[in-house]
Amino acid sequence: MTNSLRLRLTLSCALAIAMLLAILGCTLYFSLSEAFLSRFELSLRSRAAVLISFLDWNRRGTVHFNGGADAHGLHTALAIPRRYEIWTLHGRPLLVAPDLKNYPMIFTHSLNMAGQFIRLNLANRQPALEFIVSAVRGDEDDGDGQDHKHDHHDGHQDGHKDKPRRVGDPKQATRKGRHAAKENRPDNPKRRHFILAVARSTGELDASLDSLQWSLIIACSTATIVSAFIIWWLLGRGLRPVGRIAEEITRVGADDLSDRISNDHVPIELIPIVDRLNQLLGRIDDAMRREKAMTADIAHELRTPLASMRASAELALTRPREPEEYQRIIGEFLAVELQMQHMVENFLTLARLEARPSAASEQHQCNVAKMIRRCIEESQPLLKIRNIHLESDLIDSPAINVPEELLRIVLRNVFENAIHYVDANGSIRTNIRWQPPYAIFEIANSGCRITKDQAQMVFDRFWRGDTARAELTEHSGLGLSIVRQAVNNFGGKVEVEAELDGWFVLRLYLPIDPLNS
Amino acid sequence: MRILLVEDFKPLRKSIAQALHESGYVVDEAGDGRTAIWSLNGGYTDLVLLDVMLPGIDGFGVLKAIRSMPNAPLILMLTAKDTVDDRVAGLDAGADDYLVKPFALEELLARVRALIRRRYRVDSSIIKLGPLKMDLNARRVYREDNQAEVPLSASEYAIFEYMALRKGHVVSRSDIWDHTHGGNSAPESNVVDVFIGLLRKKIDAAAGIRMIHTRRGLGYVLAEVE
Repeated sequence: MTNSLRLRLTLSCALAIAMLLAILGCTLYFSLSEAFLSRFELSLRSRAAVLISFLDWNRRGTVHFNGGADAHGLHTALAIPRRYEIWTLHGRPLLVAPDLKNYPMIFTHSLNMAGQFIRLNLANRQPALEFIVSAVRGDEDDGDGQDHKHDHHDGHQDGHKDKPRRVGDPKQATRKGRHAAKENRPDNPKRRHFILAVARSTGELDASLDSLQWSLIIACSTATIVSAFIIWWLLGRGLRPVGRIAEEITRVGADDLSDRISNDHVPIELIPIVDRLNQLLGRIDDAMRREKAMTADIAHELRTPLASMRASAELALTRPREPEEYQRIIGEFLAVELQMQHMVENFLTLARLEARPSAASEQHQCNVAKMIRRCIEESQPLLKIRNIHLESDLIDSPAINVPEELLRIVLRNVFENAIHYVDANGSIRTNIRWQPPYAIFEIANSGCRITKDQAQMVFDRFWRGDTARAELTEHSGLGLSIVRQAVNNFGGKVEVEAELDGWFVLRLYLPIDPLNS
Repeated sequence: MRILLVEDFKPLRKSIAQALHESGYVVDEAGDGRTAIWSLNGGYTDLVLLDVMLPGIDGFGVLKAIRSMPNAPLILMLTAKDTVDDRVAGLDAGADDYLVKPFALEELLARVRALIRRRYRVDSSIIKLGPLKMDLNARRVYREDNQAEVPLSASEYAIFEYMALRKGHVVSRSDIWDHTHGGNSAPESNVVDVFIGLLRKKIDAAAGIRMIHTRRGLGYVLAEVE
C-alpha cells in the first residue's frame, strides 16, 4: 500500500462508499425485480381468467370461444392472449392458439391449486413465462356471469380456500380426475374440468430489469468515482496544515533551534503533534546547548594546560638559565602534563560510559562491602598524611547484580571526591544498608563549603566546588559526572545533599538485582 | 608599565608573569574576577590580560567593571574559545585585543607592546628624544648620530621609558613609582628622586642637553627644551 495518507484515506473512503452503494443497489434491484415479476405474474393470471371466461364447449365436446368463429378478431377485441393451450385433465389438447402450432406449451399434472409458473422458450427462442392451471367450467348456472367470476377468482388464487373442490393440487387433481370423469359424463354435461396454460414473452420484463441493472451499476460507479474525487480534494484541503507545519519545521531547523513551531491556524487535532514537536525541539535545543557548553569547557580544560606547557617551555628557551631554574620549569611542565593526562583519561572514561549501552540486562555477582573495604585500604596512606578520620559501618552483604568494573570506577571516584573536599583534620563516614530493591552506600565528608543549590551542580562536567582549577591537582571536575553516568548504566541512581553543618553526603543506590526489581 | 594578569590556572599565570617581568613590566596577578577588580582600584594599571573562564565573576563581568572605570586600562583577552562568534563577543564587549590559547609567548609580548604604544598614543616603537632615541622593543636608549648606547639599569630604563611615553607631560613621583614598581605600598620618600638623579646624570651627559626637568611640588617632565 502506498505511503500517501491522502491516497490511502481516499481509497478507503471510496471503497466504503462503493460497498455501501453496492448493497443499496442490490437491494433496490432485487425488490424492484420482485415487484416487476409479481406484476407480470398477476397479468398472466388475469389473462388466464379472461380466457377461461370466454371458453365454451359444443355438444361434440370440442372447445371454442363463445365470442364467435373469428378467433383472431376476438383476440384483438377482447384482449384474449394469443398464446394459450387447453388440455383435458389427461393431457389431450383441446384447443391450441394458432400462433403456437409448432411450439406447444409445457403440460404438467403436478399442479397446485393456485397454478404454476414455468419458464420456457417460444418461437425465435423468445423467453417466456407460462402459467398453467387446472380449471373447471360449468355448474348449476352454466355460462352465467357469476360462474365467470368464480373462475376469475380461481385465476387470482384468492377464493380457493372456500372452493377447494374446483381447483385441485396434483393429488387432488388425480383424485378429482375420477370425479371429473364422473362429472364429465353426459348425465352431468355442464361440469367440465380442463387444464389451461397461458404464456407471455418476458422479453420486455427482462429488458426492463436489464436496463434497471445497468442504470444502478452506472449510477453507483459514477457516485463512487465522483465521491472519490471529492474526498481527494477535501483531504487535500484538510491536509494543507500538515504542509504548513512542515514548512514551519524547515524554517525552525534552518534558523536556530530556539524558535518554536507556531500553534496559530493549526487544526486542534494537530495541536498535540505540534506540541510534542515543540517539546522535542526544546529537548534537542537543550542538548545542543549542553554540547556547545561542553565543547567550550573541553576547549578551556585542554587549551589552558596546553597554553601553560607552551608558555613555560618558551619561557625556558628565551634566555640561558641556571640549572635550578630549568629544573623548576620542567617540574612544573610535568605536573601540568600529568594533570592534563588525568583529565583526558577521565574524559575518555566518561565518553566510553556514555557510549556504552546499559549493562542492566547482564547478570553479575559483586560483593560491594568487600570492594568498599579495598577502597578504604587503598586510601589509608593519603588519609594518614592529611590526618583524616575515616569511620565505616559496613555490614557483610550478599552479592549485588552490578558489573564489578563499573562499581570500581564509581567507588574510586566517590572516595577521591570525598578525600579531595574534606577539610584538613576532618572526617569521612561511610555506611551501607539494605533497602530492597537497593543497597544504599552512603559516603559523607565534613568541610563542605557548597550551598544546597550548588549541590545539584556537582554532577555537571567540569564543575568544581572550589578553585581547584587554579591549582595543580589531579581533580578534573569529571569524577562525579563519571559516577552518575556509570550508576545510570547499571540501573542505579545517585543523589547528593549539602547539609547545613558542613557535611556533604553522597548516596549511591545500587540495584540488588535489576532484573527482579 | 604595569600589567594586571587575570588567569585562574596558576602554572600558566606564573609562566606569563615571569615572561612579562623579564620583559621589564610590572605584573600584578589575580586568580579570579573579584581579586582582579579589586587590584584595579589604584587606577595605575596600563593593560589587563584577562582570561574569560574565571571562577566567581567571569571575564565578561570583569570586562564590564573595567569599562566603567575612569582612565580604564586596555584589555587583552586570553581565552580558549576560538570560534568567530566568541571573538566577536569578546571584542564587542569592549576588549581591545583577543588571543586564543595556546599562544606563542612571543606573540603575546608583541601584542602587549602594541597595546602599550596604543595606550600612550605612540605610533612607532622608536621614540625620538632630541639627540637620543629609545627602542621600545629592544628596550635600549642610544644616540641617534653614533648609535652609542646609554647604559641604563632595568629600573632606570623602566622609569625613563614611562617618562618618554609621557614626553612633555609632568609626571608625579607616585605616577612613576606605581607604573614602574610593583606592590601597593607607597614609595619611600626619596627613592624616586634617587633614581631620577641617577638617570638625569646619564641622560643629560649622553644628550649633551638637559632633558629631565624638575617641576617643584608637581614632579618631573621629560622635554628637549626648558
